[in-house]
Amino acid sequence: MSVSNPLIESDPPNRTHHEQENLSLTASVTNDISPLMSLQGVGFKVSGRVLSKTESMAGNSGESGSEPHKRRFSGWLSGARSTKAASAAYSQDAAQKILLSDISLQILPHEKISVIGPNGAGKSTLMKLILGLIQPTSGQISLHPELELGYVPQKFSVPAILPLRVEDLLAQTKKRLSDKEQAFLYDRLSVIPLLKKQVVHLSGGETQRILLTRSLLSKPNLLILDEPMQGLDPESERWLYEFIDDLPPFLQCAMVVVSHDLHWVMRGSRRVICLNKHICCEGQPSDLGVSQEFKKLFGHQYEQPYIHKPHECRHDGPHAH
Amino acid sequence: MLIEWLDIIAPAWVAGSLLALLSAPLGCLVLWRRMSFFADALAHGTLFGVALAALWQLPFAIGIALVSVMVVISLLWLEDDRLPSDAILAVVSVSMLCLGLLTLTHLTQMQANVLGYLFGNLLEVSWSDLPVLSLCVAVGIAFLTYIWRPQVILATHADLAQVSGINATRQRLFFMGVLAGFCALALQAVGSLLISGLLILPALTARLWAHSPKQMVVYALILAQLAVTAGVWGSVLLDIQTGLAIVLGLALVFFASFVVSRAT
Repeated sequence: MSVSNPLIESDPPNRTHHEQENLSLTASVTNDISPLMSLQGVGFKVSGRVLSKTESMAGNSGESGSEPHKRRFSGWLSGARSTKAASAAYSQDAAQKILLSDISLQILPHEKISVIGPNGAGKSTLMKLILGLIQPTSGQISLHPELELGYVPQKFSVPAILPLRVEDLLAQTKKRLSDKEQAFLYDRLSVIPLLKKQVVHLSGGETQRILLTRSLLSKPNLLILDEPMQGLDPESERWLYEFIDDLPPFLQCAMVVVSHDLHWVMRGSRRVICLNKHICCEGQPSDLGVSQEFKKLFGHQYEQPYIHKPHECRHDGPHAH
Repeated sequence: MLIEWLDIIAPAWVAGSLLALLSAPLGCLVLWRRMSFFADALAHGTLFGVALAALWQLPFAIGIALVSVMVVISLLWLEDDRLPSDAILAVVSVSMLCLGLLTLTHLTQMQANVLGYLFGNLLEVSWSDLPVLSLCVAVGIAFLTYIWRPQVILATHADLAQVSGINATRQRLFFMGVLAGFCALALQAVGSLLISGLLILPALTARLWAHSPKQMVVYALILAQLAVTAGVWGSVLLDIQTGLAIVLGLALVFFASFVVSRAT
């Protein structure tokens, strides 16, 4: 197929929708080993007053209307979520804050990547960069021309004024699965009993299933899952692990999962990226070991011994950069 | 006697019904996209736009377009962490209203018609006005159909919409455009003060009964149509401004619906 892509400027991705029915996107990308996405020296910083993570989490699901005074018009106009990249600078606090620096990574077709890191590490920022919701302030992101993104957000709620049913939500996505594939997916995810329900009445686990269905209907070749286990009961968690680990062949795609769940991270993913405003370490779970610094960063959630192999990275408690 | 009345009422009723056709789906979108305050600001801005156009001898459309742009620019400029955005909208809204009234009453020859601009004078619509109105409403509905799907997706979850390739800024501008156009059309029917009522009340009432977005639009259409009919007849029989009658009718229906929905 095509040769690996020349690095392009980090303009918003120019999506061309391939309408040919017989072109299976995943199959065509399998024959082509060029990366789906390539980040080179990507950084992201903001100027002006930046909301701390707890502030920004206080009501930002899509365009949260519950606290309208927190929305700013410049962000409102562009519809972007508030990481303050587009907002006006404030005279009293014009310091620059670096959220991410020097991120270089490639995402190959069918790779399963986990991204872990402490709070404030920039995981959400990295996801937004990958999804094209924000543009890097330094470095470049290049995209495969046939990249189809799928996204399951961490927080999702439909405004209560919109009486959206599950089937309306699913109809919002461009369906690229065949009828048979869709039927299989609906069955596997137990979607059919939920179709007529109001999205706002779904439980946490049901919402996750529906969001996953929505993202898979468009047959993405790169699926981003932002803390998919958060807020799920153990039964739903187990169910979600099993599903992600065992995707049917027509749904095979690259996945980037942000997770705090180290058990699944170490078991289910092929590649782990440890993020703390930059990439501290990455590698296969079997290569990663345990160290005092790792325990300090991530707590004692993970019992197996972890031998950390620092290469260029110095771990002196919280990183000072 | 009734026949004479019908000659006045009929074109007014048709005009009102045409507007209801556009206001119902648009009102649903305004609510879903949480832009009720903005619609109000634009409605008052329309008054100012018409006044400016009259003052400078320009077509009304130019005046309205000018003021709409002014509203958007001022909203972008008036950002301050200490000030909530809905309050800023109130400032812009009220300023537009005052400027519009001032221009209208003191700087043009239209003093006599101030009440008409505030509350509408639908009964002054004649048969000859209807073809243009129908065309405008048709264009509005066609455009609304074109942007409907991305607008609903944006209302559901902005990030998901953006990831699937929807250009949020462009859609926002499209939406504001059709809203400004509607405000221009509705200015004569219900007047600047009541445009947001005509937009929002049918959709809000419909929400009490709807179980899907499509149902909400359909119910809003029915309610708006009923309100226009009752309002036109009511204004003739009770001798009140048509716009007042229509929107008051809508408000009464909303309160009644609310009580009924609580009881059931």
